[in-house]
Amino acid sequence: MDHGNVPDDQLVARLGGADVAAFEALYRRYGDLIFSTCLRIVGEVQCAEDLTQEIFLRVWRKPQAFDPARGKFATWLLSVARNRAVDEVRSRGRRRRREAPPELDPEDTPSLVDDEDPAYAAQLADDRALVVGALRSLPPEQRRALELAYFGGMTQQEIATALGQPLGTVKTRIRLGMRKLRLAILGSAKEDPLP
Amino acid sequence: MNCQQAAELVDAHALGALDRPERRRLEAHLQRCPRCRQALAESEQVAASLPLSLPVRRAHPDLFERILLQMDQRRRGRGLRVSALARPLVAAGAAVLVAAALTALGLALSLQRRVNNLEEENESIAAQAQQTDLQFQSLALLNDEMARMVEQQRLAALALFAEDRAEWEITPGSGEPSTGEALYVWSRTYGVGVLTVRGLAPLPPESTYQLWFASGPEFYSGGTFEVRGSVVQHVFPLPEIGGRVTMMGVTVEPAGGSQEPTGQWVLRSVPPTASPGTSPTP
Repeated sequence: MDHGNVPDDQLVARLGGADVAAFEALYRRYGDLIFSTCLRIVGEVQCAEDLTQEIFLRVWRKPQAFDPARGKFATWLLSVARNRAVDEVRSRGRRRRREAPPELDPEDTPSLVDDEDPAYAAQLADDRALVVGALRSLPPEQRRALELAYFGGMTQQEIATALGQPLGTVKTRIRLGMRKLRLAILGSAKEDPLP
Repeated sequence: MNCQQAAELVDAHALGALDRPERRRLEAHLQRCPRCRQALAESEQVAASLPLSLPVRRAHPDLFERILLQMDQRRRGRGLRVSALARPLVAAGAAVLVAAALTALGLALSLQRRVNNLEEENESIAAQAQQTDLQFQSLALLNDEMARMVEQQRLAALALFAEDRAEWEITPGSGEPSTGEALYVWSRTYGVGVLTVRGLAPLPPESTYQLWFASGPEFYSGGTFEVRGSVVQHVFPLPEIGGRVTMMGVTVEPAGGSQEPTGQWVLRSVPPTASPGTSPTP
């Protein structure tokens, strides 16, 4: 069954009826994105796969945990994944990375094109380009603060300590960085990048 | 905390960068301030976009299969009620259809039987099923077309032996110009229906057979199929039908199928009489 034009909310609603095809459609849309996010945070492929599996099983077993009235499914799913990955790093007692990993040019990475959902994948590629461009437009210190917070799981105080900067400076960088991102991402499109 | 103070914290909160005392103060304010909740929702959307900037890394190709395996283990572990077959195969002709279907499935059925026989040993089932899935993945690497065919057969095998399997025999009605017969087996768990057909004549290229479900006055397409041999089998995804299915049948339609039945009915059947495990609604 072709789920290419079915919104996420409807697919999630079908999970209540044990619709495996709808679940697979959601995995095809977000599986690699969730995996990439977890990998960026935990730094290990096997751990990232385990977390991805856990997160999607959580969606399958309890789809009602997502409340469409509170926002988009993609936003919720990524939030769950990010928080779970950060918790995993903390619970394992690993030393959080203080430095961002080497950047890879997104153009050098595999395409997300899904043969069974090409329209969706193409839209995602456009959205990715928008976000990458928006981040590159930030001053490096603002971008660094955002990445240490989101992917590094660090509080503002921890970022300030790690960078040897005043707490107020870090707070300002985060606020200014997010303001610019909000304008670039939400201001340039009628809908946010995530479906 | 007032809204101005909250506004200075929502971005950091969306990034997960507040310490616990700040987070608690902000959350207390958010409970009574819808405007700040909306501001937080926007910040969360922006924060959730950050992963889009990451280099794309593909998860292992068998990760979804592993997830399916975990789902299946949990489903079995709950001890769900086992549905009996809708009804026994009532005619030798129907038995021949099923036998032909079993023959056509080959390796997939053999593997599925092994999984069923080991049902009481959860770890053994997991290991065997994982090997089965890995074997199917190995085939997928060899040839895309072959992989698609194998997946169809695997789904058919799962449906034919599913705990919630139900079946429906479709025969020519009186006055209908067909010597064919069909058996439709479906499983809601796996979301597929398996149609095994015997005795229908091949059609010219401009025509196709189309499977239909009727629910009251509404018709729903179950898919189109071609006939190239004496016994053919097709695996279709289950259609979304809102109500109870009152009739199933096959018509001859223009190539590509139709939105509703327009051609001649060659097979048509009403639902079987109620019996334990009957589920006339796919």
